[in-house]
Amino acid sequence: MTSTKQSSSSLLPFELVEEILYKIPIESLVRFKSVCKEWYGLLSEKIFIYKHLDISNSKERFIFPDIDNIQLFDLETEALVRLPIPNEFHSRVYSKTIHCDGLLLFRTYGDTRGELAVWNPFLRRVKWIKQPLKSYPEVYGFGYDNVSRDNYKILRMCKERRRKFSTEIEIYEFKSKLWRSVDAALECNELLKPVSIYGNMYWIAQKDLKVNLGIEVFIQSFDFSTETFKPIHTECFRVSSDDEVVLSGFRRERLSLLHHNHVKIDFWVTNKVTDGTVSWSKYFSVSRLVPKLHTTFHCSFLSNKFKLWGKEDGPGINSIYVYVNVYKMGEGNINKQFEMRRRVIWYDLFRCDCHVYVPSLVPVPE
Amino acid sequence: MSKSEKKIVLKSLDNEAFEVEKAVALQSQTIWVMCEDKCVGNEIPLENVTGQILAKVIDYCKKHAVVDGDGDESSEELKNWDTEFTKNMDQSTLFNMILAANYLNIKSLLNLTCQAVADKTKTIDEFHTFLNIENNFTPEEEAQICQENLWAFDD
Repeated sequence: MTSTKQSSSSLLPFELVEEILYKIPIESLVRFKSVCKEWYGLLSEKIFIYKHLDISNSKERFIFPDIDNIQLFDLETEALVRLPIPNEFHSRVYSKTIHCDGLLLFRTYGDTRGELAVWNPFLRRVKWIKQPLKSYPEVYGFGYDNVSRDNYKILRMCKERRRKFSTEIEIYEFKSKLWRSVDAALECNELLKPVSIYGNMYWIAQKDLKVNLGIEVFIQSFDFSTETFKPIHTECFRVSSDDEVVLSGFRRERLSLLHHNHVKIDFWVTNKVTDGTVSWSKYFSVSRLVPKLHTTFHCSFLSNKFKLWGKEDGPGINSIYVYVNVYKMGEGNINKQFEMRRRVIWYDLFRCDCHVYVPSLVPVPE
Repeated sequence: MSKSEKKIVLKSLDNEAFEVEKAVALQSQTIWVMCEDKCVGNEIPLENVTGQILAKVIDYCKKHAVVDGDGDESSEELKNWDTEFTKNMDQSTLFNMILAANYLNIKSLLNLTCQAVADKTKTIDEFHTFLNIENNFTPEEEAQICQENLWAFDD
């Protein structure tokens, strides 16, 4: 099927139809594959898929998994879409979710192998990746190098238990379907809250300082092109151990960091991460407290207003629901905008993470 | 330059003439190139745009020439104006606006009008009808595509 030919009597030339299709959200676009052969061809083309993704990158959804479906909240239209979770995910627990280009990477439990799954919620296929059985993997990354965007790579890091502080680092490439060791130096003892931006990984990292100086919190990055770690320092704000720190993407090529210290929320952003030297500047502060908000925050910037999501467990430890509230946040105030909830299930061991998610038609790599 | 030197006349396909400020007209890259080339006089013939559509395009350009470069509040106001501008246009007007924006090379207007069509067209049938596109799948192919995206057709 080719997309270069135009349906003979169409009112608009095909390149203008294409311009319209770039504006259509993925939820609808998936259905429009069946309009005609030319559209089917176009919507399956890599060039179209990635251009659509880059154009719609500011149109973030908020993703929240339920028992048999995944909830997607559109921040702009405030529409909630539920997508079915494939049968093969049922009765497994999935966690450590990372989002890259509309693809979701999960680590699954519930079987002995602890496989990794890569899934695009808008397409039906799931790719399962076996992991070499070594020590227990703790941290994952998901991205691509600057040579080819669709050669996705998975990073995994295992603490070598026999040799303290030694971390084994491996990369899986979809093209070769192999895991290989990477010789990269990593100096920190914790990597939390992974974010994949522009193909590279960013975590909130912790490092023990010398005697009695406490811990240092900074951002650790991993570059999939050079296969090296690089710290991004955060001297401009001091984080104490009780503070909530959340890392998120901001306008595609920047990082944002939300620092909640029980008195106020500070929102910091970086310059473009591709600029080389990354530095922070304060975007705004909110001094009012968000009630009972903990565990996770996510931020996004939309139509001059900030939105903040917070996960909140129900009242009391034995609550049967987990709630996710969507807050609208601007300079000086916070308003609750939307609430999602789902039942707690018996195998609910996993941190039911809520994520900023940008949908795409990027096919699950083979 | 004095104000009067900055005026320019745009002539539509059906010979309707519009006198506009040069700054307004130059938002069109096509007109900008024509003026740069100095191959036209003070009157620019636009052979692909009717007077009815050109009037709307000029409204758009006037609004955007005035407000551009101002602060946040006016950009919010401009956004609302844009929404109102396309709100009551029917599909045929929108398509003609897209064609005009493309021909005149006014990127922001092309974006706006394409977005309006994207927002207004919700179903496959609407695309078939409005764009006059023929469903050229065999019934078997169509069934297969629906199967691939079964969940999307639920409601």
